[in-house]
Amino acid sequence: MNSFVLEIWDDEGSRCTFYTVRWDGMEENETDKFFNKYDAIPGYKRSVQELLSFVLDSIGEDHGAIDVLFNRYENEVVGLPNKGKARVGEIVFLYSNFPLRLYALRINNRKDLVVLFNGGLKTAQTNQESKDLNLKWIEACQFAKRIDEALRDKEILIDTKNRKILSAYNDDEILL
Amino acid sequence: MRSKVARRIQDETPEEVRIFVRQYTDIVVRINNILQAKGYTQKDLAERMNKKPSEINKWLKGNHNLTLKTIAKLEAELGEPIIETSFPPIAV
Repeated sequence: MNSFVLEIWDDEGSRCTFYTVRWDGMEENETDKFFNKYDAIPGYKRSVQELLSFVLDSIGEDHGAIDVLFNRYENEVVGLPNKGKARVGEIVFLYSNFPLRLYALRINNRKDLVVLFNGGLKTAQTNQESKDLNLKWIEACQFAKRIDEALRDKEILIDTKNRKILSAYNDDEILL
Repeated sequence: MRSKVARRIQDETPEEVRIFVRQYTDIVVRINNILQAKGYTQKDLAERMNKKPSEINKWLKGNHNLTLKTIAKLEAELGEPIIETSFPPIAV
């Protein structure tokens, strides 16, 4: 896997800081690519706005990355928006037919640190069958594995007080 | 800091969309908290309400199906408030 930079995407919410990934040498991060791409398609503009509000308002500001909003596990990553199956039951509530998926990783299952990746259009029942989405899902899983590995090997550290991810080598940029 | 792309899209987002998403998520989180606290499953709830589980499922899925009538039924059955309507004084 090529190197990538782990950088802040949004830290203005009161409950959760969002990170994103950017391929080393590229200007645009993966999450901006996703939002830019689908925002430019008139048919998906409203869905993009709803998803962004779900991320920044509901998770970032109101609730944090709580279990009930982070339960659409697909291997290493979670697809947002959540499908909303309550742990105690099978209640399906939110955005069950939502056309977009944005992949995310909750750092150490914390409610206040999330990495957002890229995503795509869910056109079939599974990721594998959704042509547009499958590559982004595989890529997100690879990013997530590398981030998990960096956490395990203490290449990166969690600053719990400031809701931040830090380089263990005190570098300004986190290159993985 | 906030991504410039996120800020631009957020600025273009109609206020009603943000209000809808936030309120919908709040309601859903509240319903789940009550179900978890009381240990109810969808099946339990359906039985208590004398409905088919698929009907309960239908109420709670999709992003426009959770009507006030549904919420009232759920409040009545769960015995807990789901939405509260206490407001600050109206600014004039």
